[in-house]
Amino acid sequence: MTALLIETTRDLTTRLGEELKRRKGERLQRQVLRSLVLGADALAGIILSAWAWVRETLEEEGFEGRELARKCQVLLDGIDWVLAGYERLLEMAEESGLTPKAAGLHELEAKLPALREARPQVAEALALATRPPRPVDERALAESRTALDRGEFVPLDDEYLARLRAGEDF
Amino acid sequence: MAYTVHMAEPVRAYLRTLTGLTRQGRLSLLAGILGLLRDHGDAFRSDPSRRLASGSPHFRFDYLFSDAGRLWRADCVAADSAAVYGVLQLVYLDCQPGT
Repeated sequence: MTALLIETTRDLTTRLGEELKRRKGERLQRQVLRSLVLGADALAGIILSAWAWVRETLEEEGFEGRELARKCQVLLDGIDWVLAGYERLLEMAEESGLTPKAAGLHELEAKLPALREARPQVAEALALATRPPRPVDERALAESRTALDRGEFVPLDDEYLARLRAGEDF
Repeated sequence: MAYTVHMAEPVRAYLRTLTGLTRQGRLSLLAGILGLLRDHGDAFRSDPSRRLASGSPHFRFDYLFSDAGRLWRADCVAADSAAVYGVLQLVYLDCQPGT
């Protein structure tokens, strides 16, 4: 489900970006402008839903680093496009002699505070996911190798996790 | 292939003494690492960029999660010298909170 939201975010960000570029300098009819605004509004809603899912998954299951980085990069690009796109759509409405309300921009405008709030959180998750790893402590690694050779390990499985959940010491 | 995972005793000791994580956070961390190694072990193993050195039995992967509203990153190293028996060994863990 989320893969779908993330892919849709990436595709819609690209498509809307191309469409705005193509329409640059045109005096747009109300219908055309409305469709662009609707697209931007839909993108904003999808981004907020996808970010809510990512946060929920971070709390409940977590992510492999590269997977999280890919998702956050797409969300960040989408947020940046919507924030800049809103300004551009405002200009386009004015150039076409339409009020922001007539262009339907009020719904998109209502989503901007949530996007602005999400942006630093998405950026923080991306920075943490892409931060170069610290060098491995070779001594600690060697200690683990020695312990494994001596049979000093615990099977990490569902049974062990169930015992921990029941209160057993780590 | 779904692997059996063994956690070396020093890694367990590290987790026991790690400060800042709640008990639930430790559980999430172990469950997450288990899920990644068990279900995605083959993908990690076949990615040369994850090896500590060319030909090394050790490969790394990162696990990110949230605990009590704070983001954490765990840098993990596993060994696949017993992979032929269906076993991956968690040999190193370095867990740090985000900013």
